[in-house]
Amino acid sequence: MDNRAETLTATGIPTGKIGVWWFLASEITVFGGFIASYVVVRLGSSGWSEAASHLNFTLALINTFVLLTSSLTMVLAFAAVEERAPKRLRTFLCLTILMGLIFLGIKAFEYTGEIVKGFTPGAGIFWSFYYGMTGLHALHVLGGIVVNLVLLVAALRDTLRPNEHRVELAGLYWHFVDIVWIFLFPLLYLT
Amino acid sequence: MVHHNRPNYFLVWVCLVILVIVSIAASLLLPKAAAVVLIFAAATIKALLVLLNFMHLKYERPLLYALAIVPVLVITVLIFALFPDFVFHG
Repeated sequence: MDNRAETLTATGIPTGKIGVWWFLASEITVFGGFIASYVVVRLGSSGWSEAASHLNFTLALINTFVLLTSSLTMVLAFAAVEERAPKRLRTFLCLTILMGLIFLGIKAFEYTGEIVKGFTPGAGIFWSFYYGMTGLHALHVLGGIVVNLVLLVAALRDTLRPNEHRVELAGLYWHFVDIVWIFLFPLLYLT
Repeated sequence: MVHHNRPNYFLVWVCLVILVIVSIAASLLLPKAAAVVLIFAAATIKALLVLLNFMHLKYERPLLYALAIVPVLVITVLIFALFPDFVFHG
């Protein structure tokens, strides 16, 4: 079967996987640049902890657990591919998508509460960073949901088999988005 | 598809949840400076747990490590390059 994404390159790593890692490397600099400037600007000025205290900690904590658990279901979907268990694959893809949607729903609810209180992106430097970083992250979650939906539709139609490695590739991206949240949560809510 | 011995994914998830609880306890109980150190140490361990187990980096070749590490180094250099300007310049 002609399956280029699974072809080993000279590096011994499948092309698809090396491609996703290159993409993630560029994503590290996107989020890393954001986080680096946040850290530096915050250290150089005052009043940030006061602004951060208006955030809804409980909702963010729930979202942290939702996203961590979605990473577990995503990796279990990949395990289902390895064990040739198509039914389990569909279940875990569904659960991952569902938790991604719950994350976005809670985030939208949280944004609404903040905007109602007058904390819009223009309310100060902390809020600009907050909406910039969490907004970009939420867009990434949305992107991951779309990718997982495409995989789920293929799995339901039984056309995923020749491209099953894509579950692993989608997983790499999904876990990366989880890692970004692992750092955003303490940066914004815990300090 | 090559089969490997895979980690116990559920156990990794339990560790991640425990680390979240540890960071929250630290933010509530410890003095600010100690809490910040512990919170970001916990975040780094969580990121490594996800990278090594969920993203299977521990089964991959060194080249993928290079792809992951080089941008992190770039960001670290960026922070330290900008740091004096903001902190000492006002």
